[in-house]
Amino acid sequence: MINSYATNNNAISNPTYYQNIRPMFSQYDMVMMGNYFNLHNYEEVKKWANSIYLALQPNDDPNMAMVGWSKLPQVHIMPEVPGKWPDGWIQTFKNWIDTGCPEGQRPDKPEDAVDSRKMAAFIQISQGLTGLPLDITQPNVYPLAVVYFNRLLERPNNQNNGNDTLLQLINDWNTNPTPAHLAQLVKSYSICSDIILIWYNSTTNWNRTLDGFGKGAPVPVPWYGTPASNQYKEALVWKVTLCHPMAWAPEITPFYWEMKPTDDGQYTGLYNKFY
Amino acid sequence: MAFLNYDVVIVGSGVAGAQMAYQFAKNGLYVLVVEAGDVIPNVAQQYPVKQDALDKYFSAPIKDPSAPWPQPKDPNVSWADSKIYAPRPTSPGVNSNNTNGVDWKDQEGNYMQQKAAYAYGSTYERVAGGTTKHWLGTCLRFVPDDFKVMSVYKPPVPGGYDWPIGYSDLEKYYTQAEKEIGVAGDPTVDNAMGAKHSESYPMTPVPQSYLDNVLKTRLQGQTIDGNALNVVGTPQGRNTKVYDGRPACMGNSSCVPICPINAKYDAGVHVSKITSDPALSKYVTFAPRFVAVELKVGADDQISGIFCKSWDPNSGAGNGILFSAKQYVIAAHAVETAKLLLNSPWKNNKTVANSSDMVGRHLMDHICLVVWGNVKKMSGSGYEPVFPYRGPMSTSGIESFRNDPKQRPKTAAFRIEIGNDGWSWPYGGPGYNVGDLIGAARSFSIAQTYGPDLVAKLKETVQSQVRFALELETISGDETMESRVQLSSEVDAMGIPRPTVSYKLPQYTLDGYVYAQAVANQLLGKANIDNKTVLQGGPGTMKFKPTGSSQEITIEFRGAGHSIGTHRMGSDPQKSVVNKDLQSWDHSNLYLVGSGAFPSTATSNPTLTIAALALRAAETITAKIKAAVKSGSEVPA
Repeated sequence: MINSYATNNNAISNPTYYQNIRPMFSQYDMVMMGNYFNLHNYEEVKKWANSIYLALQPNDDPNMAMVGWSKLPQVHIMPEVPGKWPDGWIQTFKNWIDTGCPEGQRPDKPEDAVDSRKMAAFIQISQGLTGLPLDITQPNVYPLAVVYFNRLLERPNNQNNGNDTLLQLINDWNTNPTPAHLAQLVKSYSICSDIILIWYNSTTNWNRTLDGFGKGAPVPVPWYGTPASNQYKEALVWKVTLCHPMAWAPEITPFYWEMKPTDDGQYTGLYNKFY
Repeated sequence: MAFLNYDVVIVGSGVAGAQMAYQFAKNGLYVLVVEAGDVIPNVAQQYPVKQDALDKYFSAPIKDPSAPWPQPKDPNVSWADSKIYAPRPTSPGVNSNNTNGVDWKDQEGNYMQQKAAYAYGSTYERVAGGTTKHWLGTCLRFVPDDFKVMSVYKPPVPGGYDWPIGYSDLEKYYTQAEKEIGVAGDPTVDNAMGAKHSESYPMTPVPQSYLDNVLKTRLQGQTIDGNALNVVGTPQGRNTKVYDGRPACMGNSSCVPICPINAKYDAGVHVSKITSDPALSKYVTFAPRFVAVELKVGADDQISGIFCKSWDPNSGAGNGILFSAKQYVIAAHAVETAKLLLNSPWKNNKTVANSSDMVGRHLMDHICLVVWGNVKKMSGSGYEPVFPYRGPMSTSGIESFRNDPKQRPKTAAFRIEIGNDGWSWPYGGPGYNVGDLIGAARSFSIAQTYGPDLVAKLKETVQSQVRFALELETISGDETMESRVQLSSEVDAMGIPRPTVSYKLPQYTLDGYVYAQAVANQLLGKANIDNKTVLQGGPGTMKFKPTGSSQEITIEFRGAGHSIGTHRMGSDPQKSVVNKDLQSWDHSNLYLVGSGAFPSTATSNPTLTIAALALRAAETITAKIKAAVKSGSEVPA
């Protein structure tokens, strides 16, 4: 593609990894380098920064540069597609090394100020309802739980049952639940359906009708909003069914669809994120 | 503008317009490309650039083909007052399953108004790159008999006729189009069907999916009515290696509408070339956000200019401007091309290019019979995991019904597309499967299934999903005369009449649907698939009497996105709009390209043939201009 780098070519003097460096690595770069290191992981890029910097630049010998060799011995100029970075990008990368490879602010930082006792109960309930471990020590689970918890707090009360809110469910939740206790709560609280739906589909469903094509549809309402792209991709339905989420995903391998999946997550774009 | 007198003006930058502009520029002709829509940010390799359109798609509650592109208008605002200057048919309404409950028949609610009892099920995009911004990438050639069905098979299509060109006329251009697009495929299947390739495809085939291979094993050696059920790979405009500066497909599975890495071709590739490559861009003026309003005709019946209006997202509709050129190419999609012609007065109360009164008529599509189900285990009970929703959304098909000499004299032929996309198209899987299992289809429902039981059931039902689309041929004739595009009395935000569509399916095609249904039932049986297809009462629901039956039946078809007809080509100026070179019978400097010129839908997806015909027309026009310059009748622009 001609003119693929239609992006500001000016060098950034004080770049950080999350704000300036990571966005310069494409999915193609990720896949191509995936056997060696993860370009979307701060620690790994920091570790390999000097080698990456050499690989981004044409060889000092013009004859070698002409046939595509980089300054890193035996390595072609990276990336091969769509071609060498603009000079401003390479300078930005050098500036990042020179300033000590600052990390910057992680975009997926968990939200603060959530009642930890209620969150713990919400996680426990979510585990019981989804049938999945939902290990909150894993990097993507806790932030999602916070988002979903807050969204479910805004769910309207069931008009047929004035005691059908998330906080009431949590209030009724035993810290040492039995299957019978969970079954009883499921029968009492329709919000249990919404908890399952929000984890599995990354959206809530209580304004949705499924009457058929062209008649009913999900209706976004103010407290609901629309799911963010990362939530769509992280919806558990993809993970559980070994589906791919019809989304950009760095972990995938060319032509993987030919083969049978060998383990959970390998082909879902969610590998290593939940377990 | 550098100047206002070009060699060629092209309206539209889809696959036909963009590739023609590229050819003209390579030949040193000065060309203006007028594009009604905006330039979509190049969703290429770079994370910050692609993310906007991708985010719009991923966060859309309904992931329809238009989800990443400009949003529908506010349904509470009239069309004349809306701020959408290049609307698409689904803005909002038909087939969009829109969020505002506007019915597809709502005349005010949809840009493209529908008049018939059932809906025309296909849409298009008005953006740079055109409708390839939401195409799947299927790049099949027609088979030779597709061009001459009427004379070879004599099907019951009153008023139908053969194409004025044959496969051999197009073969060279098919090869050229495959190189321009970058097609990955294996010519063996085409060659066996008589569609001989003079050269192989530029890339090795896209691997067939795991699901395809399961079906291939199950159907090996089986036939229906003598037609082998061979599951063969589909040629695709999708890279299997680095090609034309674009990477190989990684299987992000969102081909329709958006390939995040540009492994799938779209006409934005050629738009980028003509606007970015200095060797080409010096010949090209690319004008996005210019809507063609009206063609002007001179006293000599030549097209003398094209009146356009510009727009800006902030300041609104601008003033009009008249562009002139030696030759005019309309490549604006079947519906919009017809709309433009019908909005262009000529003489004797006729409109431009319409002495035959055929403009807008014979609107066609490949109507789709979509069937879906769960793959059963070959022994024992339960379902077999085949792992759909992975890779390109279709990698294979069954092609043997495209040219069945026993059936084609009676009913419409069809191809069978095998979907890797589970039940997402007809049913909204896998998301709706979750709702089904927990019984939460309605608000505030008590969960019926949860915990490990839910996990097990979800795996079983989703991992075994398969979907087939049987895409049926239509041949234009007397019965499609009233299947047409006309002008509405209502206008859009530019003050241009909106298109109305009255869609009518001919009996030959409907009888084909009945036969296709019988084939589908047998196919599911032979592949041991549990049929889960249900009529959903969508806009393609209709009743008719099959030939030889006194009973009406109800069917539900879907559109394939293949808008065909409206300015069909032919050998008779009384029955067609353009000749075999896509040149207007009425105005020798006007060319109407795109699938609107097809006199039949044929039996495969149209994009490759659109490109081949456009490349052929580009060669004709280039030779014509150069000959005129050489003879001294014209001076170089």
